[in-house]
Amino acid sequence: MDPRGGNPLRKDNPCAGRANSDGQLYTIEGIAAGLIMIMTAYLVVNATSVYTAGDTHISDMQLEQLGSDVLKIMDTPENVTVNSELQMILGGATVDGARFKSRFLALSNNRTQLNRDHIQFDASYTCRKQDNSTVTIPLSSSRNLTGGEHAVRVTKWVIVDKAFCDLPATKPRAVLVEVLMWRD
Amino acid sequence: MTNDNGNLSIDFLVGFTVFILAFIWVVSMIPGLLIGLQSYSIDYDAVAYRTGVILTEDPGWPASPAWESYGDPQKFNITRFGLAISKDTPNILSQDKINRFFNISTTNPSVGFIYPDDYHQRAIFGDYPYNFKISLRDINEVRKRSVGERLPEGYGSIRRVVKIKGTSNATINESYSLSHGYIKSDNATTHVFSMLINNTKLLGDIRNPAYQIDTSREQILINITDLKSTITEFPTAVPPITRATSSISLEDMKIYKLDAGIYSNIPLPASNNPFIDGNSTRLPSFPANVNENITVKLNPQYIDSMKAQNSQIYITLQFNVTPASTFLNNTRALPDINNFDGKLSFENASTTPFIYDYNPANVTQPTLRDAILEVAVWSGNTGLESIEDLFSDDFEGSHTWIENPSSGIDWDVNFPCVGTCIRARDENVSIQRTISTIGYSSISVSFDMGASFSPGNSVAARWSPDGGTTWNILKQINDNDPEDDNTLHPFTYSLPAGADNNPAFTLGFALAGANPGDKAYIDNIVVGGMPN
Repeated sequence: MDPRGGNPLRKDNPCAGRANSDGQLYTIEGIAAGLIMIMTAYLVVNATSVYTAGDTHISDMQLEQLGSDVLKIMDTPENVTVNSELQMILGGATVDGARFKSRFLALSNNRTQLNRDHIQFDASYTCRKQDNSTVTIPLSSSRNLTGGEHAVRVTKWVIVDKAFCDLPATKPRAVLVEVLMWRD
Repeated sequence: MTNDNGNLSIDFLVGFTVFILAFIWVVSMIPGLLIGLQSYSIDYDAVAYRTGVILTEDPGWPASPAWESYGDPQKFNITRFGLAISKDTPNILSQDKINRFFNISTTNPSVGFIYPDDYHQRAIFGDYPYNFKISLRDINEVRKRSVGERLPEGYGSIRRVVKIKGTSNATINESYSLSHGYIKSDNATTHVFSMLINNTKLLGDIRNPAYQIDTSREQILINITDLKSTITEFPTAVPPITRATSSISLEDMKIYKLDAGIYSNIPLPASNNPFIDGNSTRLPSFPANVNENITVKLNPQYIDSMKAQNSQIYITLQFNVTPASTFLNNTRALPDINNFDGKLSFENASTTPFIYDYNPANVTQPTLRDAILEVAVWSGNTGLESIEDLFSDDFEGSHTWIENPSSGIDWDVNFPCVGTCIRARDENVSIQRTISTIGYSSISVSFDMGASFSPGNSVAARWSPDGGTTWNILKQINDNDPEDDNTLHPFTYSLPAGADNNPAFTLGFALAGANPGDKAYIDNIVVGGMPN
């Protein structure tokens, strides 16, 4: 770089017409400005990305697995002569939300150790109506959802043999039980 | 004057900016260098998950004969543990597999499985020397079964909810024998009693392995009781026939297999001999004197070795009764027991074998019970404490607490109870129970408690070191406390040394609420301690 500075193309520059490194200044500035712009863009894009804590998906997965197990066990009859608990809960004269709550909490909060877990849930079931639309009906909940919970969703299709969602009891119906569950 | 001298500082600024950006870039890369260290906890969870899946959804390998049938000398042939009944029934565990899995030895490598090597190779896998603990608790039982070490502070884990398939069993007692005509009315010395296991029907009538009686996978058990009651007494006969003086000898037990119309006698190994009169070891040889009971317990590997999946199996017991009298007898043995002809004996109107089938009047059917399986994985140091459950009560069964007065206690099933819980109401009332903590220290108590009060009332959870003479409050909920919201809240407390090794340790709950409408709820009580 010319320590005196100045544009070599200007006629009043005493070095005009001679080869020098003055032009290098502008090249470096251009590259630097480009780098700055790229970096700025990179930082801005990075800053607007939403990140979750690295291990969050592990506890979510564990909770989903547990909920899935609980619904599976609740839909497994004790022996060949009885229906599963979910079938009895949904297929009785009235849907027995209290029984669902009791069993779901017992199965999901029991551990092999002394202390119990603190899992809460909000459950509903969905069925198809005669006009082919679907309707979702609350089943039971242990706490009201406030929106701040970090909940996971587990579902289970249950075959129920009764008149359901204004459909006649001509054949068994599939009902989707859906549970949002979270830890206190 | 106009010139470009200022460009020098712009160059510096650019250079510095590039340096700073490069520096930030490098710094942002550093956490990436530590990912290998950071991911251990994630790795523990993943290994625990994998082991949990293998144990709850896989039947293990070898499948036939099943791995659980391998004795300790053959345990090296077991490739993979798995507790599921079959690959088609995830989460339904086999009681026989569970019993074998938790058959642990800490000292003798030729008896049971050794922690950690045998389990590491067959359930945890991988080269990394993880520490682990695998626990299974039948929800209706206090006792849990576990293999592994004490849990440290941090570990990866998975919890699976499963069902355990119980085994089927049958009891042939006096009333059953009478109602089914199993008592031969003629006085005779030799009597033969037979039982039929029709595998073709057992495997065909119910296809779902979760409810099937599969004799090649699960143990069957037949209890024959009240043997002497089948002897009709004639005290005036010569010699006199009385139950007290008659002797019964079990001469032999033979197994016949009917396959494609052909009967074959299958040798009975001593490992499948019956149990006599409640003895905990099998009969070593025949004949043997019997007083009242015989228990026939056939191991699944014995049935499996017969290749009798589509066969009928006849189990015959031959008795000699002295003096000659009536006795348990439902089989016409022709021409004689030592040259037993299956066709003449079993395809005979006089032979009415006991049938082991899906009729609940004959056989207690296998049922599924809820259980929890937990796998914990870590590396490095193990924990220092291992709390075991001493006592638990969720009030779903019978109630054995002392109530004072009982009029103020009821066993409620309504909100906020989960299932059944204690509800104390409307008056000053207390309940208590003494739970010996002999052999245990570091006693812990956990319970769920809630209340709905009018002003001035309270409920207290308390413990006593002297059977209820003096009480120490653990938790008291007063009117207008946050817990006075008609909801159950979980509480856990570690008790002082006075609760350790104490036969008079007593747990109690007291409601001070004499107003109608005051209610306190208690549920899910667990007392734990560390074995001395």
